[in-house]
Amino acid sequence: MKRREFIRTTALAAAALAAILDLPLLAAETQQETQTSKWGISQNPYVEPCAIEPITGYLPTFSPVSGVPMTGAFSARYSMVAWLTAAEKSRNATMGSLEVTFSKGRCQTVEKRDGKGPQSPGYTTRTAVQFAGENNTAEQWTFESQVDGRKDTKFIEEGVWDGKTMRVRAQSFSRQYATANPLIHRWALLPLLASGSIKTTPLVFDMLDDSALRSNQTLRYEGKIKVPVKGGTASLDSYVQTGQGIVPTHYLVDEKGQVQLITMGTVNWALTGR
Amino acid sequence: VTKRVIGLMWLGLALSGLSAATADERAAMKRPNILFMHVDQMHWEAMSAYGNPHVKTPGMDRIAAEGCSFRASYATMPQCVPARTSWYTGRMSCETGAPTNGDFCRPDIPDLGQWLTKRGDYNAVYAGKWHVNGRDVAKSFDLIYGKPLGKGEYIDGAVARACMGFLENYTEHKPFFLNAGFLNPHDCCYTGGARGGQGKFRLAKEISDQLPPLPENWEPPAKKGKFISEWSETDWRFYIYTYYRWVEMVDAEIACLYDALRSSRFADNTVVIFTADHGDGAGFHGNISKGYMEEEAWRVPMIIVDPAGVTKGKQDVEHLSIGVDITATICDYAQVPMMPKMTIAKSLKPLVEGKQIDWRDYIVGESFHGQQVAVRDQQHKTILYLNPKMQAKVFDLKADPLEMKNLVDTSEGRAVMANHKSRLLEFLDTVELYEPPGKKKKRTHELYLNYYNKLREEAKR
Repeated sequence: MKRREFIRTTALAAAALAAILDLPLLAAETQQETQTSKWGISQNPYVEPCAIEPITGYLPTFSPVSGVPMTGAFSARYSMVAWLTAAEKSRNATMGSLEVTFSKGRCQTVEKRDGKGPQSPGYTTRTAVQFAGENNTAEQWTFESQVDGRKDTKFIEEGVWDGKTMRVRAQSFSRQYATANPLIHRWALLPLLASGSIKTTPLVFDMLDDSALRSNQTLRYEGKIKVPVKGGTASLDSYVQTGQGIVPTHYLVDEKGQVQLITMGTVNWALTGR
Repeated sequence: VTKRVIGLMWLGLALSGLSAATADERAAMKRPNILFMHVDQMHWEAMSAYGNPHVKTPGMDRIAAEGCSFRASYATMPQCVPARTSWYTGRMSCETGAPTNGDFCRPDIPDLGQWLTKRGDYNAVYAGKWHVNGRDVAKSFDLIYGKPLGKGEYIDGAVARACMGFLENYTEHKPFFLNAGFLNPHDCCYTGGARGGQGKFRLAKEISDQLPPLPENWEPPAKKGKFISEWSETDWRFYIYTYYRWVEMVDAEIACLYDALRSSRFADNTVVIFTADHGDGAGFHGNISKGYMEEEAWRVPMIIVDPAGVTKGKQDVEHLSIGVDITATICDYAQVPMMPKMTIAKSLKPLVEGKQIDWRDYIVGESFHGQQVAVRDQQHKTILYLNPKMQAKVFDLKADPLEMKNLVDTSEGRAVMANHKSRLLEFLDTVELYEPPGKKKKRTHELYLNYYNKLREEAKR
């Protein structure tokens, strides 16, 4: 048996054994890190499912949060899990936070992106979205943005969507964009994912992402996947969103209807509190 | 009497001071604002306005529709630090002290932030990626937002909105020189998993109907052992798919900033310049990334929107331009003298204004990361390698825009290469090769000094 085949076989065997005994796979994985994979970086026996690939350095510390479904009135806190450069040991680090609060037909968010010293300050946004209908389509919203410590970067936009056009106005400028699909704010997707309605029918929409429009999105159910987490394995429903202006985005939802993990690429989100 | 004379003298001085201040103020009012937006690693044709069916870029399309696109634009060097150092100093890579990403801009040359502040009384403002090693952006500009993390997904939204906030709040009489350094589509460099796995490539089979085809000139990567050499066709197509999504991701932010500007009170007095530091392989020639002189890496998008310009929506394929032309164009619009020793740079402003002017008939680009130098004229390109064991390449870009047929062994190719070598010698007579002080030169500096000196010696024989 060639050395490389031996390594691959033993890695798979270790992973299988870990799965059978319900051990954290990451323990097995860590032992394999020094081996070269076909990707030229390092061997990682759990390349499936792809939904968790951007946060495999973070998952050993992640425990799913228990709580009530993300439907109706609820609040949640997420940590932003950034994917650092290959030179970093863990290759993941928390670099920001998100707080979302839902009440009837309204979603409020506060998102903070961490800074790194005085030349690279943090950045904070606040959103309040009024939505309606079975797909939580946006009706009107306010968006506030500021680089921390720089009042001269602060601005507030107010937006409305009339079913065809998204119109945004700040004090000294305005913008408008035609939409081809229902306009849904990124974070207004959470209750839709929690409700399970997308399991049967994919959702086609345009996405309001802060103050940017990302057109022609499709969100569909992929199936249940097992995710290695701190101290065990979590079984989560996986949804994938593809469309213009985003990299494939996975939402991992637990059986209670909580969106536990969201993975994109270099920026990802993990539920850390309710 | 003496007192009266002295009093009159003081009054005269005061009045002359007043009138001078008014003249300065008038001059400042006439100078346009400048918004310089740049992205990182964008293929020159990754834009729907240019007919690419695999990407949708409504923001950049609007800029192209309202501006003049210079379609034959190239980086001075297709790598971040050298290209950006050239933008901000107006000097070629062999002059700046930063011939690769690991090198530092020499301290004795000014940058655009300093120059426009001192010579044009501009408010020079910066947000986002800078990457001019050795030059503190916060000393040359008012840095409103730095780069906490080198990922476009993380900073590009903040860059756009920091600049939008600046537009919202700017009340000074001085003109502004606002720089928005976007990072994407550079996130294409992070396509694997966080611990070395295959990233989201395994999704490819589920969205195979959405994956673009391989470029016509795709070929298996030459370097065995490079991890892309083991990519399947589906892997390649998924890389290209995600690459275009990253372009769209930054496009949405560019749209926000551009549209905010165009609807603001600054719309009629702000020149917009949009470009990329270098391209990306995006599967062309079986390549990803940058650092070499084929079109996909060397060539860049370049658009100038002049509200007073007459060339709205024009695509200029005739005039060859190079990264340092941006510096000259900015100085020209700002009505300040060119920076010292900008011997290659030419302002594109007259072309934007629809004027007929004498223009260069060739450009030289360098890549000391890839150890190659290229000369391009209206029809042909020659790529010369610093390693004598590497065979040169000659392409007829009119007949073969995808650079699939190397003419180096043909009579046409030999004639082109001889001509281009003489052009390269002309170029060397025009620039001032930078030799770092002290006895020990860095290997990267020795690379170009040795190569160019060898070329000169060969020419003398």
